[in-house]
Amino acid sequence: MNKEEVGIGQFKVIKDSGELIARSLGSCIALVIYDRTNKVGGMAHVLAPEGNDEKRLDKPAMYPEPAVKRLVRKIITHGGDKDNLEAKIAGGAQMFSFKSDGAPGEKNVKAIKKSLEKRNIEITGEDVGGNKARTVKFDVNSMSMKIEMKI
Amino acid sequence: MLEDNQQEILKGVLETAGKKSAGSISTMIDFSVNADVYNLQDAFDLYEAEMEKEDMAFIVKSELKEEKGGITFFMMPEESTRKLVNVLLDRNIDERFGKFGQEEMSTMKEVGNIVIGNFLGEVSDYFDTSILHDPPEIVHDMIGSFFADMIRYTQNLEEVMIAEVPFASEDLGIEGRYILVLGDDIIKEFVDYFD
Repeated sequence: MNKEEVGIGQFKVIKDSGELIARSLGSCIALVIYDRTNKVGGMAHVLAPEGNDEKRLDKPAMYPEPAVKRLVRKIITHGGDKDNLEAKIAGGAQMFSFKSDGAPGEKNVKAIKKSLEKRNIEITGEDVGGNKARTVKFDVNSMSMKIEMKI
Repeated sequence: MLEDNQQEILKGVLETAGKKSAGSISTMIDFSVNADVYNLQDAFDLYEAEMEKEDMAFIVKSELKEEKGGITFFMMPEESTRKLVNVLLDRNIDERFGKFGQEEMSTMKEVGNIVIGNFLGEVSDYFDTSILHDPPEIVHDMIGSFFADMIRYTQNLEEVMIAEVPFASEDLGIEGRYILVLGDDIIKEFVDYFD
């Protein structure tokens, strides 16, 4: 099976079959958007709820709004239909607290949900929060998401 | 930002601090220490490869007191932690134990607290200042998720200076590192000192 790693700030789309993997998510979010009918799915590895999108042009999915926008666009160019899109999200853990930014995982989840809602994309599954890191795998053939945690 | 020669001096200070601090973990273990100092736009390029690591480690994090700004981490891979805990709890170094329980976690937290305090104390003495830290938090989790969180933290800083101080005991197969993320105010303080 074709397996594609999705690093921080990256997004990838696969058609028909293959697996998308985002490893070691702490407060980051793995955002999966897919079109079950046309068998296209994509994953973005989102770092932070907001930030300067111009700072890292080589990391186009660092923040929720550009990540959702770019992922949707790419899914459509791979044959997806914007009316069929559904989403799954995982991550957003709070491993450490930082005085400067409150609860980043929670903010990340809220920001992604807002961006999806704006585009009427329904969330069909989520596993967010907690305080443990996750590795997330999405199988484009079955449109199923698998979450691994090391405890 | 520090000039090249200033960075070299800072590396020397950090190596000394790292050596003394690692020595405070256990006087029975002889640690070798090498420091590096990086001036960065952000910490992405430095740690990109590490961000996907699923290996488990113990990470003790402590933020510097507000007026200085910055953060310090003490990180040890799981296997090294297992050996160190065994040494400190007077067990056979290679003794296998299952889950890290309360005793092991408390030991590591205490180690983290002591070494971070000693490390910052040494650096403070050199720069004739006082760098204090908050009570530490400890997590046992994947290395990659820690680096991602650290990078997110550095995005709030105007300048990013990272000091890496790895330490190792080849004889015992124990390794770890301190990572000190210096905030804008503390960088300015170092620059002022050198001026």
